[in-house]
This record gives sequence, structure tokens and C-alpha cells, in this order.
Amino acid sequence: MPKLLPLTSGYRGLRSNKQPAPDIRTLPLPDELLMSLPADAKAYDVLVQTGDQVLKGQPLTNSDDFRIPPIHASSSGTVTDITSTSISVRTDGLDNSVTTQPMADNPSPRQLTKFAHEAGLIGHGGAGFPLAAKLDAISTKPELLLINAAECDPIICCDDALITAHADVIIETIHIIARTYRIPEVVIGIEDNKPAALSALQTALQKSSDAGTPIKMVEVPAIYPSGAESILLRLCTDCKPEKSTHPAHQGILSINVATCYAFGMALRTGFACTQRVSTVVSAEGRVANAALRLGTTLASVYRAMHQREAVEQGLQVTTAGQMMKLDATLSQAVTQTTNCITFRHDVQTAEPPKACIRCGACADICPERLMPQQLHRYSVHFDQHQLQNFHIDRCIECRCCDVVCPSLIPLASQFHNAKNKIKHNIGNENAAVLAKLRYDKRLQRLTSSSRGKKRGSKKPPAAKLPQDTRKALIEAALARSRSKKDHDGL
Amino acid sequence: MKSIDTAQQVSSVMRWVLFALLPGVAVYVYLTGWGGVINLVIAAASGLFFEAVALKLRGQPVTDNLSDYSALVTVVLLALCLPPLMPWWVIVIGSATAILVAKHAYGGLGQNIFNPAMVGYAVILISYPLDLSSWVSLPEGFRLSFFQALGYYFNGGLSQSASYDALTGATALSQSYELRLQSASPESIASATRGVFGSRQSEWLNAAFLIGGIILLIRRIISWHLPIAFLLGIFTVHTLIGAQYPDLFFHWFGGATMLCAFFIITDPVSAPASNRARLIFGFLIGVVVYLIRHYGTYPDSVAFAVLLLNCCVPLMDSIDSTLHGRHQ
Repeated sequence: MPKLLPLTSGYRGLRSNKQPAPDIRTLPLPDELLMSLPADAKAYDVLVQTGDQVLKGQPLTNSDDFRIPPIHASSSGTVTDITSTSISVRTDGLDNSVTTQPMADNPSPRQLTKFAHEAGLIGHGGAGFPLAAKLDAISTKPELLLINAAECDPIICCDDALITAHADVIIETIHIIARTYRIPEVVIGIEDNKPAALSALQTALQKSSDAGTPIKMVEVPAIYPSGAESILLRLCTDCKPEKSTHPAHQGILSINVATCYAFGMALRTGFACTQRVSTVVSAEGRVANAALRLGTTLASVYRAMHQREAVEQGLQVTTAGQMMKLDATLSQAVTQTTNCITFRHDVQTAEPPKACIRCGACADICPERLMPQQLHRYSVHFDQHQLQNFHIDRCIECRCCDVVCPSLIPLASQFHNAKNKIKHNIGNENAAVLAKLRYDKRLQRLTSSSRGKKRGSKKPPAAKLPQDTRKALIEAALARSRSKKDHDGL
Repeated sequence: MKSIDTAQQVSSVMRWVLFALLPGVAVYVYLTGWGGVINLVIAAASGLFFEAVALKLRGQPVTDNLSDYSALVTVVLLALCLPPLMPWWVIVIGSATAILVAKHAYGGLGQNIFNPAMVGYAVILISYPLDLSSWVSLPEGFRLSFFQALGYYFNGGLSQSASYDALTGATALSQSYELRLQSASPESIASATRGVFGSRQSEWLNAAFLIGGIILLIRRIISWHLPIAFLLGIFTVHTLIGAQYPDLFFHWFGGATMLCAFFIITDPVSAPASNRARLIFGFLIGVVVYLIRHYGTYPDSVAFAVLLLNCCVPLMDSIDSTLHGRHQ
């Protein structure tokens, strides 16, 4: 396990001292694949039925919405079960694939966006933002293409291995994207602890005959969470994107290097994304990188990586690395966002949190320069005004504060809950303002219609909206449109 | 450098504070003899007892919370401020006030707005001024035997003793206070109160606390902002109005200055959260300490200065909130 070291000065976050990334392994094809479906069942059509034969790369769902990319079978076989969350495919071991055409040279922006959608690509960094939706948003006002080659967790090294092995594909894809969407500036942000990946990129850059947009490489310190989009943007460029809208709306296209590679491979072969490279931490603590077929269950990943037939009792599995540490189950399947899988046997029950002694270790480490000790106090008692005063909206929930807290307080999850509560309250306030407005208008209509009937009667009081209500209304509408954009992403 | 697996927990922070107090404790015991030892024992025993009682009353796990050492740190700091050979109950009242009132009545660890040790000290200083200002002439250096010393604790302390005048001696700060009242010349004050480099006798205690403070700074348990700002505060007022005193080191290495700088005001609970506010907080405490030493009737004033500025912490925190979360 790499150790995390708090920084002495300058940048904030946790430093990781890392070994070179292990090479990418390929795992045997699993007997069963579990293709996860999007959450909103109304947003897509399922194209197959139980018992159908499917080929590798064959679309299983269909949707015209760029925010809901289609799902593809990642190997050939028979559809055995379709539930609301997944489609099960029993593989036949032949791995036959659909016949495809590679993307034509010099596609139009619209063609390329549509292609990204049809290839089913979503962000491989972890958040899983649909690539086509991002490309669609950028096409109106392109300003910057940021390639995120910084790992999003100290233990993850799959991007490192991927760049080292396939730098040429990545550089080529960057050129295609920049040329097609006419993006004037391209920056690759890469951590300074990946010399092999860096030199591979530089070699590929020199070899590349494409003399399109110049590509700038920026080495960022290998500090968690420099792989977070907002932090990387700040480290690599002088852009100051506004927090209220998605960077893509401000002309900033930020793509993870793994997404870029997957897109490049799809363009070369015309083939949908059916696998990704993930870091797998074995129960013994060994770190490996493996190319995983999408839909492989975590149980079969465990069996293949440990060369075991059965899965032991008491095995704990988490995804997303050692910082985010999302709890997972062994029946869960690999998706495009699964960048790390960690298996552990010796799970200790966490000690109960103690009282905050306001030591300030969290404030020293916070990469957003917030004051978690104050936010903690106000989220425990839920003081919305003070939480907003201390900029809780800027918290990126990186969990650096959790790591350094001597009282073992789960700060990031407290902030997450507080943020949700604030969002909920703002929604309620907006709804109340709208209801008041509807009521006032109705009153206005009623009085004016009764005035029409009884002409010459005493003039009713003017149902004019008070100044502050109108102001509140405008603000509420603005906030709604903003939060809608944030929610939908686009 | 520390790693993720061994991130410091509260108990280890407190253990380091206790460890850093060791040089100071050693010098204190050398200066005050068996009296100092008995002070520390009474304070520690009563402090832990009251902590256990309070935790029990509040329905919290007793052994878990006792083992974080925070109560022990509080009462040891209190004991280090006390002169030896005083009635035992005065110490017990001090630690009861510190633990029961200043800490647990406010909601326990992490909730107290006032520094518990200083609340305990201020209460007994106001209630028993004679006992708290009767310092045996230093260094006592174990001249009294253990049982002789223990006798004082059960017979009303040094202030009730027949040999009061023979045993007591003024501390450098109170001597300078009296000499200033008599409008003595700065030279005569200096010759009466100056030691090798600071105040007579207490300079060694201060030097020992400085060493402990440097340990805490190196371990990154305290930040440099508070002690430096505090010492700067004293320096600033000294350059303005300190002509009567021998020199700056008379104040820096006199009274409870270094204890205050590195162990009292660095209590994170009752200090402001942001570094900017900490600089203001530390500086103002330094200013108030000096002003009370110079104009007040108490020879030393760390407790009052700290408590006064503790009141202002919420204000400093709220002013500073607007400065955070933004990248300049």
C-alpha cells in the first residue's frame, strides 16, 4: 500500500509515494456477464429479449438522449435474464463480434458526438459523465481541452499503465478531438511521479505527424486530490470556472485520459467500449492493473486475480480506491467507471468518532482551503446560513480531512449530508415562492373577473406583487435553472 | 512525516503534550521540591477523579474518554501554575472548577469556550489570593522533607505557617511590581530581579517550557502562529512602555510566559480556527498580559488575559469566515 504523507507547505492534500505502475494483465473471459443498465428505466429501450444470441459490441439498449448512452454486450453469448438494473449474458467463449466500420477521417463535430454516444462512452475517471453530452456542450464555444492524466486516488495506477502502453492512441485521439471541435488550447495534466508515462507521451507527441493544435504538458505534483477536475484545472491553467455551472458550459472540455484512450480505440475500430483497465488491489495488498471486460462480476475478478475457485467468507470489497472507498458487493459488475477494486480480508470495525478538538489539521490539509472544523460544527447542528458562509458548496468531498482527523470524525460524509439538506431546503423555498405567486395571481384573476361583472362598484385593492416577492421570484427562477443544469449536468 | 495508517489520534496528541511538558515539570520540581510533587499528584488525582465523575454523570464511557489524557493535560497545566505548600483543598477546588465547570458544564471535550486550566486558576486566584501568591523562596530544592512538606498541605498551607516570612520569597515579577510602586530606578529593579538571562529563577522554568514547545512545533502538534504572535505582542508593548524593566527577556522568560505561549493559548478548542485569527488572538493576549503586568495589581496575568480573549474567539471566527473558501 502506498503511504500518504501530509504536505509541509504550498499545495494542500495528501502526498503519495508510489512505485512504478504494474503492467496491464488480461483476465480470462468470465462465464457470465452482468451489463448494468442506467437508473432511469423510461429513458431507454431494451433491444434484446431473454434467450437472444448477442455478439460482442452489439447494442443492448437504445436511446437518443446523449445523457443516456447505450449499453453493449461485451462478449458473445446468450441473454439469460433481464432485470430493471442489468442484463445477464452467458458467454459462449467464442467472443465473436459484430462487424464494424472505423470512423471516417475528418468527421464533422456532430458525427463525432453521435459516434461517442453510439459507442456507449462515459467518463472513465469515476464520475461517469456521458462523453457525448460533454462533447455536445463544448461544440458551441470551445476554449480548452484538458486531458486529466492525474490519478484520482493515491492507490490507483491504471492510468499510468495505460499511458505507458498506449500513448500513441491517446495523442492521436487528442488531435482528432481538438481538430474536429476546433479547440484552440490543449493541456495534458500529468502527475510528476509517472516518469514512464510522461516520456511515453512525449515520444508519441514527437512522432505524431499531426501539426494541429499544439499540446501543452503540465506536470502537477502527485498529491491527492490533484486528479479532481476542479483542482487539476486550477493547477494546469489560469481558468477560473464558476462553480454554479458545469465547466463544459464554459467552454472547458475535461476528459480523463482513460476515456480518451477508449474513445480513440472506438474510433480506430468503430467498435463500442467493451473493456477498461482498472487497478485491482488483492486481499494480500498487492497492486495490479487488469484489463477487465465490462460486466465482469467482482467475484469473478477476485477468483481470476487470486487463482481461487471459491470466494471466502468475510471478504470485503470496495471500489474507487482508498480515499473514496465505496462499499461494493461481489455480485456487482465492472462498469466503465470502475477504476479500482480493493479486496480485503482483515476488516476491522472502525473506532467510534470522538469529539472534535478543533486542532485544525483538517483546515491545513483541505485542498479547497475550507475550514472543516467550522463546517463540522455547523453541520452537526445544521446551521444553513453559517454553512453557506463557510462555503460548504466548495467542498469536493475528497476525504482528506477524514484521513487526518485525530478524532476519527467522518467529516466528508457529514458535509455530503449537509449539502443535500441545503439543496432540499432551497428546493422547498423555491416551491413555496412559486405557490405563493400562483395564489396571488389566482386572487388577481378572481378579483378582476368579479370587477368586470359588478361594474361601477368599489375598486378592489390592486393585487400587485410586492417588490420583495418579485425579487425573490426572479432569484428562485435563476437558482432553479442553475440547479437544473447542475443536476442534468447539461 | 506521518502516514495515513498512523494519523495521530487525540490520545496521542495529548500524550505528546504531556511528554513536551516533562522538561518544565522537571525544573518545576527542582525549584519547588516536594511541594511541587505533591501539587502535581493532588491535581492529577483530583482531576482524573472529577473527569470520571463527570463522564459517569453524563452517561459517557468512562475509561474510553479518560484514556484520551485531555483531563490530565488540563490539571497538570493548572498545577504548574501553582506555588508549592498550599492547602490541599485549594488545588482540589481549582481542578474541580477546571474539569466540572469549565469543561463538562460546557459540553465536554471540544465544546469549552474557556481554557479549563485558566478558569480553574482564575477562580482560586480570586478566592485564595494569599495562598496563590505565597511562593517559597526559590529554589526550594527539597530542603523540606516529604512529610514536612505534606504537613503544610493539611495545616492551611504556607500562608498560615508561623515561619511564613522565613520561608517565602517574592518572585521576580512581584518584586519588580513592588519596586515600581516605590518608584525605584530601572537599574535597581534590574539588579533585584534579573537572573542569568531572564527573570530570576523562573527563567529556567520558562526555558524548559520553551524546549517543550519546540518539541510540539517539530511534531506539528501546535502551529507556530499562536506562540509567535503572543511573544510578538509582548515585544510590541515592551518596546512602547517597557523602559522600567531590565529588558525584553525579563518578560519573555518570566512569570508564566512560555507556558502560556506554547501550552495554554495553543489549546485548540478555545483558540480561533483560522491561522489569521490565531495571529490576532495570540498577539492580543500578549498585549493584555503585558498591560496587566504593567498597570494591574496582579504581578502576572496570563489567566485573565487568556480568558478575556477566549470571549472574543467566536467573533474572530465569524469575521474570518468570509476570507475562506476563496483563492486569492
